[in-house]
Amino acid sequence: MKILVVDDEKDMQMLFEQRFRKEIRENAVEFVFAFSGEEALSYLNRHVHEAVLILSDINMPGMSGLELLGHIKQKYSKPPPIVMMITAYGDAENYNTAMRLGADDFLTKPVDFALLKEKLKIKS
Amino acid sequence: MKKCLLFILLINFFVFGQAQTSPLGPKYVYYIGPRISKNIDSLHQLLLQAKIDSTRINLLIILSQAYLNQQNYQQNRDSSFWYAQQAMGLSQKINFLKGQFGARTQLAYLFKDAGNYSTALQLALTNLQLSEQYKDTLRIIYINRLLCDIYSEMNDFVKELEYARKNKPLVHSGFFKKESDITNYSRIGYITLMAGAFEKLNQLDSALYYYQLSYKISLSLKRNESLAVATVGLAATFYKTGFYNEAFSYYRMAISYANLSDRKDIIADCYLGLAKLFQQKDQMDSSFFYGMLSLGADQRLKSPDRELETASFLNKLYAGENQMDSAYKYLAMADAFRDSLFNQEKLRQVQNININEALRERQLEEAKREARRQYETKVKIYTLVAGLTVLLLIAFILYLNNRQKQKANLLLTQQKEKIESTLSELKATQAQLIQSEKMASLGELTAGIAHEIQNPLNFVNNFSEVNSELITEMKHEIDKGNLDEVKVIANDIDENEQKIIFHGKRADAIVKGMLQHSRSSSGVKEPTDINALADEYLRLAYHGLRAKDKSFNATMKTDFDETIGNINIIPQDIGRVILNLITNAFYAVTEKKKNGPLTPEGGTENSQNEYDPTVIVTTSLNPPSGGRGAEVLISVKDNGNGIPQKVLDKIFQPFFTTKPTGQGTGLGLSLSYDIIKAHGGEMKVETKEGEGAEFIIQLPA
Repeated sequence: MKILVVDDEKDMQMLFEQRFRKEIRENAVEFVFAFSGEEALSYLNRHVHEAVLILSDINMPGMSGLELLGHIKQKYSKPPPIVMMITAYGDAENYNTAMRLGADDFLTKPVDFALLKEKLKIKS
Repeated sequence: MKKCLLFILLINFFVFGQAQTSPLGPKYVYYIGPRISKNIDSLHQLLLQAKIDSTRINLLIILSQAYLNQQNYQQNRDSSFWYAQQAMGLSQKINFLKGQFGARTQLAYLFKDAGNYSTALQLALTNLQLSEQYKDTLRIIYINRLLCDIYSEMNDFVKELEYARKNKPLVHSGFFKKESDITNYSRIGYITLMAGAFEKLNQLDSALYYYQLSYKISLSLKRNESLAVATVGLAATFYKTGFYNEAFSYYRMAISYANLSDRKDIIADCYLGLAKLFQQKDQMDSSFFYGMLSLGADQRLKSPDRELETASFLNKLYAGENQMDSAYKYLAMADAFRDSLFNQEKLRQVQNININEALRERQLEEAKREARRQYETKVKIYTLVAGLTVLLLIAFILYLNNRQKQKANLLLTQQKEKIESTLSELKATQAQLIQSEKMASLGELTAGIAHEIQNPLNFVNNFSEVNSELITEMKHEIDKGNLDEVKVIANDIDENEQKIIFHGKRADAIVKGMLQHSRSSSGVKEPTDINALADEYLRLAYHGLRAKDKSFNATMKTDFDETIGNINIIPQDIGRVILNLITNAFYAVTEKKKNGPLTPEGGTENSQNEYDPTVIVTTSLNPPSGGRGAEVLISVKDNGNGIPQKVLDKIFQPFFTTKPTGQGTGLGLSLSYDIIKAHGGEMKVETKEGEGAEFIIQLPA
């Protein structure tokens, strides 16, 4: 399972690799990182249908996570990848917008990795 | 029966003295007046010597009276008149009221004697009014007496009684203090007068009562003349009531008292009374005898009315005795007297009519005067009432006005208080608003704050947990003795630990920045050399960056307008703004040097080698001449990549930053903007993409 993580916080890569090191070692998951919305889109353009799950931040310089969500849900309709929003903005407005744009899930920072792992098993 | 008069002529207080009696003229009027001890010649002598007018007037009046006291009354009456008129003229000339009063009384008496009752009454009434006006009780009593005399001679006995009665309360009003005075003035003031009037009005019981009272007083006074008057009155009254014996004895007494006091008129009256008495008793000889005596006395008195009465009596007496020749003789005599009296009587009747007219006129005039006085009083009252009303009205208007003013004042005060409280509320609200504006700029972005905190927290929490797991793993590897693996894990733990420390510090920096942003400035404005301040912070920023980054290097230029002088600012706050702007400028030029200029596509070129990162700080005055309303401009200009148009309107928002995550809080420009606003200034930015940006601060000079 290939997961694309989109976050302008570069330390997210290291955190995910540490948190999922067992799963990575066991080749249960493969992580790809993008540090902006634009980067994520260009990756998706280059690697069509590779990523089955996208974890995206919302507040990023340039293209925001919600914009990215919109693009993904419009352009990659068959089959649309699963998009989970992971954000520090836990407010209702962001949640509602994300849900309206077709987000499959909504998590808040700090990330509860135990919960995330559980969700990933269900989703996959 | 002719009445006898006691008359006191009141002339002046100082000449008021004992009575002197003497028979006078045809009326036989007795005077009780000033003692006139000097004869007429000596009085004339005194008058010639008198220098003072009032003395002359007094002497003139005394002379007038003295002429009346002379035996030859008829001849001297003209002289008496002349002197009284002189006294009157002189008194009027010098406006001597007492003199006028005395002269008028004297004239009234003279006019009465002359039968001119009208003038006599006018003069007497004028004096009455005058003495009433001055509340002169003694003079009122005497004038009332004079009036009684006048009315008696006019045969108006009702009026006589009326004026006599008026004296009674006056005598007993407490004016006289001595008992003897009260007794004496009772007798002469009203008792004798009332007795005579009652007798002539045929109210005999009353007449008897007052005559007896008079008799009693006269006995106690032992005055023959008074006794003569009282006894002859009693005799006449008894005769009329039919008590002939009493009448007879009182006539005898009256004759003896009259002889003692030389009252020939009373003697004549007594003779006629006795004649009538004897006729009633049918003692005709005695009646004839006294009738003849009476006639003789009458003739000596030269009184035609007495002679007429006696002659008529004798005529009837002889006619009754059938002595017709004698009867005829007396009838002829009576006719002669009647003829001589006829004109006088006629005249009297006409005069009475005139007097009544005059009196009516006088009353009318009096009534008119009274009416006028009442009218004047009314007018006065109305004027007063009107004045009072006007005053009241004015007072009321003033009161209303005052109330209105008070109301208005109250309203004003209330409004003022309201305005003041509103103002203070407004001030409080303004202060609150400034604070809440600050808080709002935070509050609006609570989510943003959360984001800024939650991101580093995310790392701190998760790396800590990972480290915890790694330590557990490491323990297992140690137990296994797999040292290579332990080293790998230890390295990971170390790396993670660095991340934890970094993000912990990041969170700390964010919180500190937020606190700084929301904190109310406690700084105080003070005159500050803005050039020195800008220079100081420029160096601070440069060295701060050099300390962090050894490779950092940039050209610094300053262009200070030395004419600015000191401006009133909070130096720490403005210093922070300058520091912030300079730091940003250095960051911008460093980025450009590092990454190369922006390409139109948004990327960067690496093809500029001759780029010289430069930051220029400029101060200037606008307008350059300064003066009122002038402002100080502080400019921080860099030749970096400039600010993209799409973020230009966001750069002053809190938490907005173009710096990579962790390098800026996004509060610097926001704070700077607030500080400049608080100083009443403006902050503007001018930029051109790829060529640099210029931040300009405007502050009031």
